[in-house]
Amino acid sequence: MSVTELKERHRVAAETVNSLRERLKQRRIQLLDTNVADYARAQGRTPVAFGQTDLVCCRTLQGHNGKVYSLDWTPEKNRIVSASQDGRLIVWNALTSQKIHAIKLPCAFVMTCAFAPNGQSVAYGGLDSVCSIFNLNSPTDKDGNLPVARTLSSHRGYVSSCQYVPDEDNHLITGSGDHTCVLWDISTGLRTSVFGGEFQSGHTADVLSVSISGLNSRLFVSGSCDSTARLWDTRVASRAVRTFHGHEGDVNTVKFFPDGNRFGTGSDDGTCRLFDIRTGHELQVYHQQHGRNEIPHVTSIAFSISGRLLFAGYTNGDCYVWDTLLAQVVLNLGTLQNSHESRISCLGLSADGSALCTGSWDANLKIWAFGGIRKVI
Amino acid sequence: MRPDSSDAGLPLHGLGKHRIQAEIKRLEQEARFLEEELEQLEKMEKASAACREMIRLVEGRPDPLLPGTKGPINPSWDRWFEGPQESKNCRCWIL
Repeated sequence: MSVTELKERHRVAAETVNSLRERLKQRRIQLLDTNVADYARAQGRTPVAFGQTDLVCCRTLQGHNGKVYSLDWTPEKNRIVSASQDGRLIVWNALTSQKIHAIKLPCAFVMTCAFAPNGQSVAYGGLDSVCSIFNLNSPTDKDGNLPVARTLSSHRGYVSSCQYVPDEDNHLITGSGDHTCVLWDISTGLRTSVFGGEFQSGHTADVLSVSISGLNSRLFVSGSCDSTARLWDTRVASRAVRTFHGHEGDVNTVKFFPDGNRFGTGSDDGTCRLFDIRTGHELQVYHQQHGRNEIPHVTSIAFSISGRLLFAGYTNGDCYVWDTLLAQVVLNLGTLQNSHESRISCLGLSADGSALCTGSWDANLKIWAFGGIRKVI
Repeated sequence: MRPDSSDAGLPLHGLGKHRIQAEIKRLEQEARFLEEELEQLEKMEKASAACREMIRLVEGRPDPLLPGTKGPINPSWDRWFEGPQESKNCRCWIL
C-alpha cells in the first residue's frame, strides 16, 4: 500500500474515532440527569456547618529546610513520612511531633514518598526516574545514612507518584513522566506490569498521580497532563478500564473515595471533580469562582473517612474544605489561625480519619483535628 | 493540552510507512474500545442512582472530622489533644 493510500486510511480511522467520541459524549450527557449537589439539595440536605474552633491546627512538624512536596501516613501508629526539596525524607511520630528518622537521599530531587503498609519501609521517587526503597530497620552506614535497600528502575521519565498496594508490602505502583504507570515486585526489583506506553492504550502525557482502591486493590486510577484520569485493573495492563474526561488542564492529583466506587481529581483548571468508576459519570464539579486571570491550580486532595468532606490544596495557599454533597466550601484552612505561610502542596488523612496532615512550601507539616464538641446524629 | 479529546489523528508529516501503519492500528483499536463503551452505556443507570447511593454511604459512616456524625464515637479520635503539643491552639489550655 502506498503512503498516499495509508494516509487516506489514517484519515478515515481518525474520523471514525472522532465521531464515536462525540456519540459517547452526547450519550453521557443524556445520562447525567442530575449531579450530587442538586440531588442532595432536592433531598433537603444542608451544608456542614463548622464553628470557629472546630477544625484546628494541633501540631506543627518542623524539621525540613525546604519545600515539602509529599507526605504519607502509615496505616497504624500515627507515623508520617514526608519528602522535601531539602533532599531528605523525615519519618515523624505525629502524636509527639518527634522525628524518628531523617533520611538523606542519594538523589535530592524528590517528588513523592510512601509508607509501606507494615510501617517498616518507605519509598521515594523523583527526577532521577527511579523509585528507591529504604528499610527503616537497616543499620546506618559509616556516615550515619540509611542505605537504599532496593532500587526500582526502568521508568524513562521522572517518578511523580508512588503508592504501596494496600496490605502488600512487596508491591508498589508508580506514575511517571514517561506516560506510564508500573506495578513493581519489590522483592525482585522487577516490573510486574506496565500500564500505558507507546504501543498501548494509555495516557498520552506525563502521569502525575496514582491512587489505589482501598476496596479492591487490583484497581487504581491515574491522573495525567493529558487532562484525563484513567482507571486500571492490574490484571489487564494492555488497556485502561475506562478513561475519564472533563478536566481542561493537567490532572495533578487523584484520590479514591472511601467506598472505592468513586474517585476525586484536582486539576490545573482549578476544579476538583468526582467520578463514578462503574458508570464513568462525572457526578460533581467542585469549583469556586475566582478573578478572570487568577485560577489557582489544585495541588492535592483528600477525602474525610466518610467522604462528606473533600480537602483541596490550591497554588494560592488556600485549602478549601468542600462539603462533597452540597458542593460548597465550608471552611478554608488557609485562612485559619496557625495556618501555613505558603502553598499547601500535599494532604493526607490518618488511617482512622481523625487527623489531616498538610505539607507546605513553608517547609512545615501541620496536623489538623476536630477540637469542637461533637454531636452524634 | 488535550490530545486525547480533540482530534484523534496525529499529524503524519515526515512519518514513514511503518509509523503510519502503527498509528492506524492504534486508531482502529481505540475505535473498538469506544464502540464497547457505547454498548455499555446503553445499559447504564442515570447519574441520579449513583448520587442516591453516595448520600446513603456518606451519611451512614462515622466521621471524626465532622461536627455532627453518626456514632459510635471513638475516644481515640481526640488523642491529638492529649500529650505534647503546641502551646498555641491547645484545646486543653483553652478549656
